[in-house]
Amino acid sequence: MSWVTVIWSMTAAICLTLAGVHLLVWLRARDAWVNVLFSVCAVAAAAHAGFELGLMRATTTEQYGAVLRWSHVAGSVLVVSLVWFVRLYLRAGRLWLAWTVCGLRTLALALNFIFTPNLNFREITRLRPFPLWGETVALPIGVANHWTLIGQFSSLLLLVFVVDAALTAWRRGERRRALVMGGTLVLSILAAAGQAALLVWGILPLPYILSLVFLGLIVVMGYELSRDVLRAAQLSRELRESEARMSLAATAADLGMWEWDIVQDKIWTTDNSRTRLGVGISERVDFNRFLQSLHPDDREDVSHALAKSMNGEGDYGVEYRVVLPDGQVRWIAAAGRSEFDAGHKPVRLRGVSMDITRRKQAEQQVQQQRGELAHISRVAMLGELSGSLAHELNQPLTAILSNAQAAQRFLAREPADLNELREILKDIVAEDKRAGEVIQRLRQLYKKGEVQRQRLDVNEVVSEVVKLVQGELVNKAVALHTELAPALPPVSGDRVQLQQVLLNLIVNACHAMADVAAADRKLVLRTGFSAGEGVRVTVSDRGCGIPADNLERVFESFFTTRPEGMGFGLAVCRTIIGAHHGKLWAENNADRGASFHFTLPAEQGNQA
Amino acid sequence: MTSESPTVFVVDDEESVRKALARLLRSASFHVAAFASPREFLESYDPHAPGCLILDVAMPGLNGLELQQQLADRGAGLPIIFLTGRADVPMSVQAMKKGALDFLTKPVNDESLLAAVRGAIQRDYADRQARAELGDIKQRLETLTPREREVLVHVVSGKLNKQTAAELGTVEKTIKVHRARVMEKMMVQSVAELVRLAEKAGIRPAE
Repeated sequence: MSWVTVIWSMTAAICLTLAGVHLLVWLRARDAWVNVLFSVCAVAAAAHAGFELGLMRATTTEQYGAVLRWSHVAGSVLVVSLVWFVRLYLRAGRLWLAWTVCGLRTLALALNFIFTPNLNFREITRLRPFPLWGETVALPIGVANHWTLIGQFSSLLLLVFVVDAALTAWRRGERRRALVMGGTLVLSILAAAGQAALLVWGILPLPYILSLVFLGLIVVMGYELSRDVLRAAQLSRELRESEARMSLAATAADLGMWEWDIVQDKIWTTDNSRTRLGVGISERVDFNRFLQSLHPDDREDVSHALAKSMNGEGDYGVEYRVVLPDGQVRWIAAAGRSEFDAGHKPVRLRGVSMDITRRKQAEQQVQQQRGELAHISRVAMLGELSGSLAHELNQPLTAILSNAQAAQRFLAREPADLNELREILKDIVAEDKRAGEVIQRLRQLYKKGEVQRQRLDVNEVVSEVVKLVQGELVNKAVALHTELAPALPPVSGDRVQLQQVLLNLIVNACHAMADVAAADRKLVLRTGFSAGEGVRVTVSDRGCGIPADNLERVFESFFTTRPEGMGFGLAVCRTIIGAHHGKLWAENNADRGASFHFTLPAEQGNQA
Repeated sequence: MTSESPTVFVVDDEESVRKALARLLRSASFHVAAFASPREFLESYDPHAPGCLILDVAMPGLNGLELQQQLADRGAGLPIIFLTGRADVPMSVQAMKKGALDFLTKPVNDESLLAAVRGAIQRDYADRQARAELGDIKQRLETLTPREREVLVHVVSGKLNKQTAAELGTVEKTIKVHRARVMEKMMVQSVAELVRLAEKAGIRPAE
């Protein structure tokens, strides 16, 4: 049993095993170049061990010289791959030094094959038996080749390169890596190069045992790399856990996740998202399939929002309805972000979606209740106004009756004045239409209709209301002044609700002036526009004003100064204006009385 | 009827109503003048023109009741028919108290309106007659001397010539002469007639 054979063989075997392991790592992750370089180092170290065993078993000087020559191949490969391993692993090291080391080592290798027997010796004179672990191995005695300095110089440069790279890594904060890898390399290089030099120059007669140093180096390098592999494994476990946590959170919040591969037009979604869209679990979903599942009225909005995000105009965020195969409609809120390639082309849109049907239903319920309250308040107010409203019908009825009876009398005459009769009939038709319009307007105000947003000319709304309150103004002996700004931009609103607000403000203004001398009862209706606040409507009275403490309180529910008032007219008005994204407030006039103002945002686009 | 034919004045701020009422009145052969506001009417109104006024109660500015007051202040006894959109009892009472002839509710039937107008015109005619007669009597009274006026009061009081003479400190014969002069100046044939005239002129019998 030869210990030397066993130890050197095992050294080679260990190195090869580690090389194989890391080669496998590289096969699984093709960008793990550091593992490849390690494998090359390890294979070179294993080869070197083999050569060393050959050297120790050499029987002739020629044989020794030849093996030593070939062992340089393994040594050179080891040095070159170490250089690039350090650069990759520590992400440091001067490039020019790296190339210089490689260049010198290549030059040394070339010289090794030019000189006979090799780079180290000009001549090996004899082999001296050297006792090692109970057996005898060959130890060369000869004349050193001066060119061997080139190889040693390259080892020195390698040392400098490693120290420099380790210092850079250390300064960068990767202290452990720098210390362990740098330290091991420095020690190994010093030991290996030192032993080789001492042997060549005949200072320390000891056979080549560099492989043992290399083994240490390879084991440390392998251990460090394995740590990285282990860390990667730990990271992936943590990532899995974090994913699990995220998916738990997403499930708990009922969030669906989706990803649209724009290039291949393929949409991946979580299962809950699929259920939500009403598509099968294994069905292929592309953009058209997704669009198909949406409510037809929402398709354009969604496409538009997607296009905006894909044009790089911010994140994607939209609410839409999905019509399920059974006809059920669900509300979904989705948000996402586009990802772009180097050419700023959108390649992927990733995001989440959420079922907001319940929230939407609640919103609708609130809106419905708001509408009902507005209706109750409106009907109550119309009740208060009924006397005046009757007046609006009475006038046309009076005109019609008198006209018709006049016509009967004219007809009884001989000859009947046909021109007169024609005029009368024309007037009757006109008056009848007028009465019909009054009834129509009243019907709309009494109706408990859905809120209908449309483009409105505020001046038109004011004029319609003025027609309804004419009687009230006359009864209360209030003189009305209207100051309507020409060319107001249109607003988006519900005609009936805005009429209700105006009616309320006008009726309140009339009440506020009840105790004022008839000649002073002046009501001003004013409209105006400014870019900042949009369209503003003002109802001004000449009453006694509002105590400063009450300027806000008048908008509270059940606040009233009138015994017959229910006290939620103004509260409802504020809600209505708020729902129109406007503002309603009160202030006292500088001289006397109070003014109520409300604003409505102007519709974007063309002017009215 | 006087030589001037009566005019029905219509004041209503609502053009369509004003036009229709005027038409109805013209169809019944009345002479009509229509105004959009009490102010407009007052500006062109001639108190000597006979007729009546149809007035809407509720109008912006000067309302019907205020116009009634202003007409009364001017001493124009034009009969007023009020038209109102709704039967407002306190308001109609107030108007009637101030001498409104009728208070009609819109829409108004032709028969009621025309009857009211006819009544008002008759009333106006009678008022004007009465006023003319009164003027006539007053003119005659002007021609009496102070002494004759004193005798008139005594005659109206039903006192005998003798009593009168005693109270005025003169003789019966003188009183007789005065009395004959009074009868002549007042253009009456009998004492009864004289008493009626004096009553109309507001001459109260002496105690």
